[in-house]
Amino acid sequence: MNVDLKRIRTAAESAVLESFADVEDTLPGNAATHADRRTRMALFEREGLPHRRMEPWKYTDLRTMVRDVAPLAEHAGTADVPAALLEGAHQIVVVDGFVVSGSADLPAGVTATPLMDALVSGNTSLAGADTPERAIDALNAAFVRDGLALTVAKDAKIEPPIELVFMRSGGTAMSHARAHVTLGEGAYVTIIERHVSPDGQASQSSAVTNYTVGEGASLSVLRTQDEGNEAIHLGEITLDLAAKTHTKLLHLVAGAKLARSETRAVFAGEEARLDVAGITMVADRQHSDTTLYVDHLVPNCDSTETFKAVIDDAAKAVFQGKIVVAQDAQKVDAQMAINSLLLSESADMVAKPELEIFADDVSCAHGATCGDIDEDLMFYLLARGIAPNEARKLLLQAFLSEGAEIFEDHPFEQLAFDAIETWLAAHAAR
Amino acid sequence: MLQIKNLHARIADDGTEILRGVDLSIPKGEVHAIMGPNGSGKSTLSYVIAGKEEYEVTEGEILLDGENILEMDPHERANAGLFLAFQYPIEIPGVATMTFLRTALNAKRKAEGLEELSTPDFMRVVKEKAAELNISSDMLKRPLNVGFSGGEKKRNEIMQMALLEPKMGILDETDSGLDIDALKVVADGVNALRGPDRGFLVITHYQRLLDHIVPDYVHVLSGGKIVKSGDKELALELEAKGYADIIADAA
Repeated sequence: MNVDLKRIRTAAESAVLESFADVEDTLPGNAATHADRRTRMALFEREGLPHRRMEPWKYTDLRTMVRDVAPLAEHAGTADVPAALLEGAHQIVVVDGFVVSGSADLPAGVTATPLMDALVSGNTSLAGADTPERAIDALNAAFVRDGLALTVAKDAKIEPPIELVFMRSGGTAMSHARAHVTLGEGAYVTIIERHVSPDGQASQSSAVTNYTVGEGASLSVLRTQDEGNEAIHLGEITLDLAAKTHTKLLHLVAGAKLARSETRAVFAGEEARLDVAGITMVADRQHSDTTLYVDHLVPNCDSTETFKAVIDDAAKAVFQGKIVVAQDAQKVDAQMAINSLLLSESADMVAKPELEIFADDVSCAHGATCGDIDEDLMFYLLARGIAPNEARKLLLQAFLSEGAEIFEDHPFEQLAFDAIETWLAAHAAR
Repeated sequence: MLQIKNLHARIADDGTEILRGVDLSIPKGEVHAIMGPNGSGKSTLSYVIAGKEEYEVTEGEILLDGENILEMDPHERANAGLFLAFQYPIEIPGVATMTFLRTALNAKRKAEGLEELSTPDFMRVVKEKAAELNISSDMLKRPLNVGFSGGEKKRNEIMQMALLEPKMGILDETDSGLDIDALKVVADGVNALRGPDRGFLVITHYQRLLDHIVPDYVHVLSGGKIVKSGDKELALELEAKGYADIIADAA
């Protein structure tokens, strides 16, 4: 028996559907791309925004948290592009979902095609997982106008970092950007993903980056999410890891009113290693969700997952980490740690580490702690004449800095320290 | 310099009374030792003087140079010239030893209305004090007390004291966990800091430390009170006869 339950749509869900109907004709892509877009939107039409009765979205209920959805940005607005985080970095700037600069004159060995062109020529697909929990990917694929297809040639060692700046110019528009980054065999590249928007602007954006790491390649990614205080940010990173690859990914999260960043890593080849870490610093009424899936499908791979969060005021941080080790994936070593400090009575943290292990010869562990600053550590510093706010800052700095250990002695480490310093100066040193 | 008058203190959480009327006066330039059996309140006394929140003072006062320090926060007490060498120095991963030392030293200088030390001046003074206490530059590069042996931690405490030049140094069982060589280094470090303007309160369980840091006076703490005071000979008497007799005699 088929019962067609008619669900009442929220204003935001209706707005998404209306917006899609309005703009679909104007979205780039060939017939196949458009078919993919419609498929993804059909899923949305059926399932709506993800909500708390879906386990992966239990703590970030978009159906109640997103009140309305603005129309899709039609062109790139004007925006002041920030200086590159690292000297010598090659910036590619995406404003309101449109590539505005940097897609040419890349370092030798790197090629970039604006996604818009790739969609038109049919060189890229917007097909994807047809499950309701993949709402970010589905929404993004349905609406995306532009982004990048970036390729690093086989054996190319790219020294200057590539900095992808995903910006919003302001206003309340919705925008979506997508990047496909492919590393050839034995390639090496360093990528900075920056997600920024101005304060006081209710921008709504999604950004999806699909990394395909070819055999023996090395990839280092720093993803900073520093959106404005009224922004909604939905992000997804996928990592497709071939054999003998080494991938490091650090999330620095301080921005947005409401944010969810997903990382989905799949080990597809043996002897690969992934180190993923996160430093989350939230205050006021921010809600920040970091969700991680690591699928060990093959044997002899290692992964570490290290997440640190400091939560102040009435902010809420969510960390979900699920490591799956398939039956064949013997000799896998996976270590996940989630540590958080709550700085106020009304601060909230949800930590949900999960291990699902089907293999019998593995070394996997997870641990989660949540607490206040250790009184004994504090007293030791105070007893040396260090003022309480300064002592607190030192301890928070020490706590958060450990999140950057995967980039020890790498320029990303200093960038993380700087971000921590900036946040603490504004929030915790009082 | 340090005057403790009728000090009563209890554990804030459960109200257990630990100090029951401690009277003690340490003039400038003198070294006083406090000895006593386990649970007599020795460590509590040091924590109460330093201002640990766990303890609540219910009666009495503590004056440093005539000023009631009970009204000060712990960091203000430190900057007023009080230094507690911890029995168990805390390991703080992620806080570099040098950063810690520099922050502490500059806090004190700020409280005294002095400019912050320049980097070369700071490095020079730290290296000098470190050398006196056999602290290697490798130790200074590590996070605070992380991976330090018991002896290294205690030497680090004394180095901090040398750097911060307090008016009043309190050593809480600084000898615990030290072998005889380390004890000698620590004692030499303390002796080098003795002077006419500085007082010390040395809390210890054993007479051994007092062979190296020779006190002017020795007090016996029992049941949260000082039950007997004397000169350094008292320490030898305690070592020979044990606490039980002395405490029984005093009662």
